[in-house]
Amino acid sequence: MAAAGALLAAIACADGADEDRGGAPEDAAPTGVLDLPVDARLAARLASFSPLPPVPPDPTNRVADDPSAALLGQALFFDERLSANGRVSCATCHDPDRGFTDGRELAFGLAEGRRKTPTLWNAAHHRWLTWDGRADSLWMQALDPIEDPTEMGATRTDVARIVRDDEDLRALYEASLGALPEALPEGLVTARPARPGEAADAPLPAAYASYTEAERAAIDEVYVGAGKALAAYQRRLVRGDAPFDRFVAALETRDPEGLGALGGPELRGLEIFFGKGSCTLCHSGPNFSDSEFHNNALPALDRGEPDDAGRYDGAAVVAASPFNAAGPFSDAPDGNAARAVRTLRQSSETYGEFRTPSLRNLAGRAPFMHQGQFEDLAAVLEFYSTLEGQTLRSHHQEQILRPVRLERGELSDLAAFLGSLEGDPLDSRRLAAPTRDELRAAASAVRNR
Amino acid sequence: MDRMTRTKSAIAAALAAALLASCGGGDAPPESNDPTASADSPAAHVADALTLSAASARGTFEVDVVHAGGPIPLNEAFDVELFVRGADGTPFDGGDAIGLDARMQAHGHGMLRDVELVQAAPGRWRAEGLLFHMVGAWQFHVDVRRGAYVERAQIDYELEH
Repeated sequence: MAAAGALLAAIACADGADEDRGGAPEDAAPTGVLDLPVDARLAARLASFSPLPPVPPDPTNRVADDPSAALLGQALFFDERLSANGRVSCATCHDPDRGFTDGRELAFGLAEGRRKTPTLWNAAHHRWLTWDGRADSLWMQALDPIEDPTEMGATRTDVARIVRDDEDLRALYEASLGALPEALPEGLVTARPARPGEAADAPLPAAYASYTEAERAAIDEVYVGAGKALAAYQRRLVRGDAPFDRFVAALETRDPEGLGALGGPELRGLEIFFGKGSCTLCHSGPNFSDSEFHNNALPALDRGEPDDAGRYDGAAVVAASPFNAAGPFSDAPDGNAARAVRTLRQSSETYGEFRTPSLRNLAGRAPFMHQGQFEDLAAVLEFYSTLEGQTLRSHHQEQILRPVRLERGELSDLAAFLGSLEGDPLDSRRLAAPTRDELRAAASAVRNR
Repeated sequence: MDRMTRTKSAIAAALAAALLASCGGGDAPPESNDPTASADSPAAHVADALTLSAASARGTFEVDVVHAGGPIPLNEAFDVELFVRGADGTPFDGGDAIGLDARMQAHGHGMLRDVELVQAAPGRWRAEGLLFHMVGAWQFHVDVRRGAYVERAQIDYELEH
């Protein structure tokens, strides 16, 4: 508390500090414990990082904020029937007990993937999803892992069959998304379009091609509907109201309890974060991410030459996908998100770039970075402090980072500050599969509307 | 979102003003410190508009880049109007092609999206879909192509915290 009071005094009097050290406002706590060079300008900057606002609307998803869709999405998220072997769900990799990650360096669903599982906390605040931004909405992102052979390995017809044949899921679907399409085939065999690099006459694509155009459109409609329901659920996985937020709010109200939300280490870490650490260059805004892409010359997991194209690849994928914001399944194909994807730059300077992760709610998310290269937060901070092990591929890549050479104590303080970005926990019922009784009750309620 | 941003800006401004006042200070921070800002732009009638001006490298044309909302926002999509005049002050025809882009030279990167230019009148275009995702030194580039030759006007802009 005394430390917070000192910070407040420093903020209030930075202008006149040289002339009058005793110029603290009468209602400020005693000064002198910390002498942080923080001024009113920083106070204004802090206000641009807090509070975390409500998630932005998603006009491309007409059920983004529909409770029935969110419950359907929650059920689907934990449903292992959506996998080829019946043992993998979205929650297998996005484990709520591990910050919606899996604790592994590289994700493992049906097989090992090539990147670390990104967290879902506050994902709805990102304009691009996944490490390379190959999706421009939560619902688009939710679709591909279901069919990816290394992740869940199911198909869109499996999704349509499960939603149609499970009367509770079907009721929730129809309550939010409307009646299942009439053209949905009675017999739904496992089928999907060809994956990149897969022959069109491979068994699954051939089976998909055997349906009529109207039947395929109906299958796709239900598949996308399931994705939009999954998105509606994930939009609720938001945690703000962290000690940092309580502290920033108290700068205005001078509430002693709020000012005490950050102790000495956290305040010293705050000074580094917003000062010589230059962390806010990329980790900007209320979600502590610019939601854009950077190449920070990270070492590869195997310490070899990095070979992941990152955003260069992701931009091409999202631009070409029928599931993007400008596509036929979007509920706002002429909106701002559609314009953003239409004007995406396909530039070689994006090679090897990855999206800035949010720094809110880091607990449980180790290892860190797109390949889980760093086993813990200390290793991340050590890298950014020294840049030892960086992999500069060419003179075309971004040139942002400079070693800031933080001392041990400063690294510790910075970690303490990042810990103050841990939001209040969510209701545990939002972090587990809804029970069959809960689904049944909700389905019954929507039927009786 | 806009309302949230405005509200937070207001809170921040009020906080800053209150804190400065408590210490005997009081000079409001300048809205823009860019020396190229001009009040004589074609959009000078728009209150709070930011106008950035420059001549092209060989002096063939002059440009005004006008952001009606004032300072460029951090990490939010924005549109600008582009006015191009010949050396005699008449609306420039734009040559065979005209383009607008922006880069952070010190970082070695630019925007991560292309800008759509739509001509609104002779010498006047609307540029849509810009986004500055980082604070720091940005540089607008306005390129006019005539046959095999490109002439550029460039304008520095510092996006502050």
